[in-house]
Amino acid sequence: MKISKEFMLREIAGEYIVVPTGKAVFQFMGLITLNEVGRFLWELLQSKEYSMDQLIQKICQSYEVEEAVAQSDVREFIDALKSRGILSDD
Amino acid sequence: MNEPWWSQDVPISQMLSRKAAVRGIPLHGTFELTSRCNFSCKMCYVHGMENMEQLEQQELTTQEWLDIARQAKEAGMLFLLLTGGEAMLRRDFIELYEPLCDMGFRVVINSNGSMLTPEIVECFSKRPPARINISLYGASDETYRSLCGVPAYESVKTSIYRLREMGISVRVTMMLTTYNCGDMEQVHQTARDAGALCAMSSYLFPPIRLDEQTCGNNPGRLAAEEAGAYLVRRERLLSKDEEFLKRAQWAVQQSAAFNQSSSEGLPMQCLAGRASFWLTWDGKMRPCGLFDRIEMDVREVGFAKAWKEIHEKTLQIRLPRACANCPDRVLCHNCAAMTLAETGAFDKRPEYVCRMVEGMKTEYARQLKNME
Repeated sequence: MKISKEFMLREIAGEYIVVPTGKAVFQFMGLITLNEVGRFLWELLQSKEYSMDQLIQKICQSYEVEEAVAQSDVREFIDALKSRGILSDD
Repeated sequence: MNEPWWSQDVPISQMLSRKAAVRGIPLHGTFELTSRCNFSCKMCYVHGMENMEQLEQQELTTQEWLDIARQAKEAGMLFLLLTGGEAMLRRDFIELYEPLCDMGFRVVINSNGSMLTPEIVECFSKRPPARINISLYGASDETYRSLCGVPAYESVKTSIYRLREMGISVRVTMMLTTYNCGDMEQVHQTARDAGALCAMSSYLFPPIRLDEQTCGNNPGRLAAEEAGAYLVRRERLLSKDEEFLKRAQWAVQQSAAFNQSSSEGLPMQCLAGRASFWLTWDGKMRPCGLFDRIEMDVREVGFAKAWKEIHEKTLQIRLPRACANCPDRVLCHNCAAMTLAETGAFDKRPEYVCRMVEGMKTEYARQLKNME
């Protein structure tokens, strides 16, 4: 799974905002706000391909969280991105 | 009363705008790329009618706009409106538009819809704007000829359909004037048929930017009471029956229930100068495009300093004290720009706007009676 670089992450007024640019505007015409963990996952997925398990491991390494909670949160995040056409399965 | 153009587009924008206004961040920017236009609309407040070549030479260059955009991004600009004159009239429109899109702004364009060349269509197929607001001034070439001086109805309508076919979000906007108010329903239908959004207004600013002597007057506008009635008719046209009924009843009750007393005028209520700015074609930053009382030359002082000055001066503005204590305040959409354009000062009661509200109340009552 990977996110196109056409979705630009910006920090404005203390918020993490994702702005679609280029053809991504056709895919998603709004804006997205992310919390700190969302930003963390987003930056990973824009840097290279990641599997669900790899993302969960990354979260567990970086945040003090149980694996079951990380698994649930990552799945919810990935599902939200997929439902908006931002992320596709590899 | 009138929601700004960004608030209905993206709900996140409302939250961000509130935060930006508190922190004094220029979240919203308007780049008025040119004052030139291929139309000659009778009510226009920007369009210079003479010496087009000279006007073009005074415009900010491509590089100047891009440099300012980079500074604005650094300061927090997210929402960017490109307007004119007719923005697509600039020879370098594509050269300017593409890098602006790539900077990570949510770009919206205001256009009269007559300049959509194959090259611009090709450009939009790769970098669509988040929305294009197309002014549709009437529903026939006759109306266009009388108001804008050019029989452009068919070409504008073709552009709206072309953009919609491409999957681009379009909002049809209509300024209601003495010349075109009879076409209101047909314009709305055209927008619906094309799958476009629709917005209308009957308030025309006196074009004091072009000539201070016009203060309190605009040759194209309706009588105040009639303009107020058209605001309500517009609402009726654009809303579902139950929504309009709810709004009309609320408006009448709110006005009657108002009970406030203030010893001074209110500060500015909109985002102008608090979280938004307007940059004119020749490089002057203003809180809003419709008044020139507060301005800074961005070429001379740079973006950050210009914004700081504009922001600080905006916070000092007080609207008329009479407006703060007026029971019709909830119905009225008076703002600092209107007060200035109508009276020449920020703190004088704008009679035309007051009479518009009277027209609104009469029309709400008439519509409610008809619905009963």
